[in-house]
Amino acid sequence: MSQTEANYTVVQNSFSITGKPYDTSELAICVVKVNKYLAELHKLFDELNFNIFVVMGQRNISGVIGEIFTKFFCMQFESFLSNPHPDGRPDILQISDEGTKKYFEEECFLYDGDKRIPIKSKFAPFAFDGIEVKCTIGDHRSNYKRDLKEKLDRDSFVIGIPRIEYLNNLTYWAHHAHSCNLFGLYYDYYPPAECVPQILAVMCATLSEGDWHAVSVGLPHKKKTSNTSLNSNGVKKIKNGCLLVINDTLYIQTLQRVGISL
Amino acid sequence: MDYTVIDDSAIELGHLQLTTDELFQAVHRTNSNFEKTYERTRIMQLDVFEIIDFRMLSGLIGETFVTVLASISGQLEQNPNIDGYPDLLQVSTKEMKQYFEGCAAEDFISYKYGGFEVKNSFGTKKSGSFLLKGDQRIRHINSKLDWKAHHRETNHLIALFTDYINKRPRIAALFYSDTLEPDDWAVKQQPKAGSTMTSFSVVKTSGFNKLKSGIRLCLDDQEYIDFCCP
Repeated sequence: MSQTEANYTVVQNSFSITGKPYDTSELAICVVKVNKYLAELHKLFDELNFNIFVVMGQRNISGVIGEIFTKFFCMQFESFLSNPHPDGRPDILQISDEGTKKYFEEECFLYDGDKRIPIKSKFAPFAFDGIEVKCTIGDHRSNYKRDLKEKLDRDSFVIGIPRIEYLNNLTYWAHHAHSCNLFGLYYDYYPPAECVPQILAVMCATLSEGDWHAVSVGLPHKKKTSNTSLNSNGVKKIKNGCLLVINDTLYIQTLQRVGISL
Repeated sequence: MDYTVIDDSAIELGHLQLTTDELFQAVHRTNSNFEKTYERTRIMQLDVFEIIDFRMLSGLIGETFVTVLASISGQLEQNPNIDGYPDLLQVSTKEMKQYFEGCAAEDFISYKYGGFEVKNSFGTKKSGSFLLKGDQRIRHINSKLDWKAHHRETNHLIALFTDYINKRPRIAALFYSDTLEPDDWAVKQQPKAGSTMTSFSVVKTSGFNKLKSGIRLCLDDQEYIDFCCP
């Protein structure tokens, strides 16, 4: 279901990045390609007796889905390139005019023989516009443990258990509180796709620094990095920016319940 | 490339013994998993190693090795708590197995019967050198390998050194030490706000030398043997 464009509803026909409009139906093609890739990746590792998503760990899955989306987005939309520096931001660079193209090609790389090395200061941050990509499986409601125990005889979530029935909100996290165009992806372990993680909705918003909470530095004994999340202004913007959603009644109704405008 | 056994003495911990053969099997299977992954994803329009960032790949290699070694050794279980220590838990007696099965999440934070921690390093790039993802690193990294831990109490450490061979990540050497002390780890570094790093402690030269003297396996290539062996 999640691997066919026809199974997605286009909520807004187009989205705009720096005043330039782009077709949401092209975005649907991109999402389907990502979902197919995730399914293939799962199958590939399954043949090796290995659940790749379990090994990645819940904390890394969102980031990997975002990276895959970034690559396929840039293959689908001509005027975008993925940020070539591993610490670069934004994730997707908008290279839509000659001036930006010239800057990208001539000022952002060092050359060592035939190697082209991206210069960190030119890509973090990039001097021109682009898109940050964030991915979330959502926040669960506080009484989820009781229901999880009753329905599935489990004490906590594990990778592969769909979370839609426990969804309470969508939050997007970042390492920096910056103005940016944001793609907020929502995914779940989707039962019709054998509970492989699948992108089920895409939201888009233009955010300012004031749409994020203050950045907090990670605690010494924990493995968390410094982070921030959208505040109520930012959350409102992203929830009003849904472009695409899976044609699945349960998901549509639940996303509407948590405030996504569909 | 094949492997040379530098030291074939078993790793011992309490009631537990890990043979060099078990370690070799775990290395070989981990490498094999990544080789197949590379080949299969290359034909899917997107090489998976292009997507996974370097830090995550290093963690993935460590976690893959943990998963594989736990499946090979009947005396170890993988720590189910993401914040738990160590990565591989000793379950070599009936009592330990029963204890493991009865543990709550918080019991895995510092597991009563210990085990082995596993860390991977690709080496730290020499100042001024340029390396892209997938480039072989052996000639461009510092002679001291940097393994990072979340606290300075890390001991009983299986330390892996991985490099890219023909664009595929491959474990190049396996080191071990059960004599690491807090003074073998640098003072914890707290990342600045906005950094994507977690807080961490890097092994000092004293710790690196202990690990180096406990090397068990190395790629059978003179360049790697010269780099890794004491």
